Amino acid sequence: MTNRHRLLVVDDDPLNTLTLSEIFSLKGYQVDTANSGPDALEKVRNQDYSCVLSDIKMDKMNGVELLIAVRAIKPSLPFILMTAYSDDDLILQGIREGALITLIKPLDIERLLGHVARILKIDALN
Amino acid sequence: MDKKVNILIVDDNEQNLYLLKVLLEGNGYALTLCRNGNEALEAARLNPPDLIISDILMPGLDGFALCRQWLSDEKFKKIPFVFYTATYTDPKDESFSLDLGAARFIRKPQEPEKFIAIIKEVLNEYQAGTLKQSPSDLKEEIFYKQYNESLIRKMEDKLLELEKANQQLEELNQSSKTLTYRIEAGLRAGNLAWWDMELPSGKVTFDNRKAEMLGYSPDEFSTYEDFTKLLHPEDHPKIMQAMQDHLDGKAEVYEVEYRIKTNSGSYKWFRDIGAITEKNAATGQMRVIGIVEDISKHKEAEQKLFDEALRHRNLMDQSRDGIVILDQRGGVYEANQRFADMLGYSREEIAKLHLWDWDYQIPKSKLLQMVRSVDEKGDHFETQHKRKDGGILDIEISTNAAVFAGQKLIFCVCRDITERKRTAQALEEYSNHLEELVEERTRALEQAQQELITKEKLATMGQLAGSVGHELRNPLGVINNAVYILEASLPAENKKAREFAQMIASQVKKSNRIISDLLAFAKEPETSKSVVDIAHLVKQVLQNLPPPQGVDVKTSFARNLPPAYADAQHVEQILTNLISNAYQAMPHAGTLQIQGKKEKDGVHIAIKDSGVGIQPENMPKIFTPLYTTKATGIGLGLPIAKKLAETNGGRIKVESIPNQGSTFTLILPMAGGQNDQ
Repeated sequence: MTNRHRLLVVDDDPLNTLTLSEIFSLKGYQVDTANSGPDALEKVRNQDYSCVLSDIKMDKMNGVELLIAVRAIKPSLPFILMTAYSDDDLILQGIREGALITLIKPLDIERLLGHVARILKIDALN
Repeated sequence: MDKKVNILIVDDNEQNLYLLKVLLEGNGYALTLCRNGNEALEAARLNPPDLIISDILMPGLDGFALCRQWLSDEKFKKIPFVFYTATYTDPKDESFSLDLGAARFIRKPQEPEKFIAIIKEVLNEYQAGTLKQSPSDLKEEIFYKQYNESLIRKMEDKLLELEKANQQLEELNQSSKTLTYRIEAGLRAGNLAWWDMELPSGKVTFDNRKAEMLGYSPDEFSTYEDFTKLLHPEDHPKIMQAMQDHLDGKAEVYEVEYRIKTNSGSYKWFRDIGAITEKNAATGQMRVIGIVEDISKHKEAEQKLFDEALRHRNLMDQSRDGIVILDQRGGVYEANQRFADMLGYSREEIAKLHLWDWDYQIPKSKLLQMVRSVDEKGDHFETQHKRKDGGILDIEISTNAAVFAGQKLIFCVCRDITERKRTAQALEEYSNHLEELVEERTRALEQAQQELITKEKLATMGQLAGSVGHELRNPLGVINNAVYILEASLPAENKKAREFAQMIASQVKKSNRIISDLLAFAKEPETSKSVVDIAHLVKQVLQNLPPPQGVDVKTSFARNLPPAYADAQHVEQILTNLISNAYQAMPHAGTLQIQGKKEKDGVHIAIKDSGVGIQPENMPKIFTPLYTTKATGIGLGLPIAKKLAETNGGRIKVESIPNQGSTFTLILPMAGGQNDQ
């Protein structure tokens, strides 16, 4: 049930990256994780990913800042934001900067999987 | 008489000719007029007259010479020759004339009847052949001697007369100069100028002074066009009318006041007065002469007087006090509008009243005495006046007397103090209740303070709840993810493990709902109002929130139920909270009634359950956050509902009887601002 898509999951809570990585692996994706913005950026530089999923609220570099930095080097890389803060101004900023989807934690896993599958299909068509 | 008698008249003086012509023509004679002897002879040869009347002294052939020639001419010598002369007549002239053979010598002035009688007599004699007229048998030298003497006499007389006339002319000239001087000086002193106009040509001659009065040179102001060009446009028709009225005989003189532009650009007021001085009925030609006066100063003074009168009138009319001026008999001399209004009369009515018609408290005799005794120092007192409609006014009066136009008048300034008195009384009554009021206010203040404290507490708690809620979402998220993995990894036959995993998943969802409630309560709600169909919304909420088993739901909406004006999502939230509360109040069974109707203060949506009800002692706490009597829930449903209702301009009303049920009524503003309050 493996597929060729490699995802990068970014969250400063290692339990989050661990569980999400496990869920995507169950669905046959190859998953890398990063627990900070700079770490994630480094990985994006060195590896081709099909999609990046990142938490917003992180120290040093938050998810939106990461999004902006990723856009600079891989402009067409699909980007999904996740946050526990439903009314954060950062969500709006993330949408403006080109995040495809923003999901509120606790995540509805089936919805998340559906979104990712659709994004990758569209991306493959492109 | 078939043919008119023809008379030839010879005279070098036109006026004499004219007079004789009028007289003789009037008596039925035909006339030939000549200016000297030669002319006369010529005319007589062409058409011999029946009689000739001649003057003596004439240029060319004089009367004496003409007579001599006339009588020596075979053709004329029988035709009567009459001298008619006034000038310098010496008795010798008459005898000389008769010596020459003239039929008659008539001396001027002669009364017309006598003159005509003489002419008739001569003509009769001529026709009867009895006329004594024969050429002189004077010797030539004697004739010339007498002739010369007579002429010299006449010349001397003429010279004398000329001198006299000259002297008269000189005197006339002198008096004319004096008159001109006087007129000039008078015009100048009076700031006047003359003008002289010919009609219908409209040609005007202006006194140079008119130009000078306006600051122009005479060249710049010499024609009628110059005049009309400088005239104030509004005054032109007025001038035309005044002139027309005079020409038509409607006005004895032409008199008009008008504005005219000076050289400096400002306007001066002028007055023209003039009249027709000459009129030729036949040709329609006329001459109008008059003077123009600079009346700017009068106008200015007039305006000042008018303004002052107006100001005085305004002061009186615009006074906020009633002003009435009384005469010595207590009658109204004058009253302003305010005074009439105060008493409810028209101004015409008030003018006919007397003091005792409204000052009903004091007897008439006393009032008259008061009127007579008021002096210029005046008086000040309070009284009561009766209105036309019988109403009583409290009045404060200031009076004083002054002599005006020969009579003593009493000025009364009346102020209506009815309201003031009433206010004072109310104030007194009010102060009696003050203590009560203070207590009441204190209670209200304490309550407000308590509410403020509660609100502040809530705000702090809201912030805290917000951050706690958010922070809890992260670990919940991990649990959520982990349960998903667990469920996915568990073999299908491990039913027990799967059941417990599901339990975790559902509790995560529940926890998340609590967090959402907390966040909703902590968040300052933003409203996006629109027209909300209540019946539709209730239906929608009931679909999302089906009643538990045993609970019967009944809805009824009034036909005239208007839509509410509110944030639809908020209303949905409120209804969800109230309905789920109602369900929970009926754990075993019951009836939920939802009723919508229109009331004065808005749209009412009543949610009535037949549940456990609320104990009276709990009633004040039900909207307090985190207060709950239920095993489940954290006590935010009602506080959120209340907060959202208030955010949308509405409120929630509660009625409850323990063990019978509760009714929560949501009241919202009607769409279209139809609320009566």
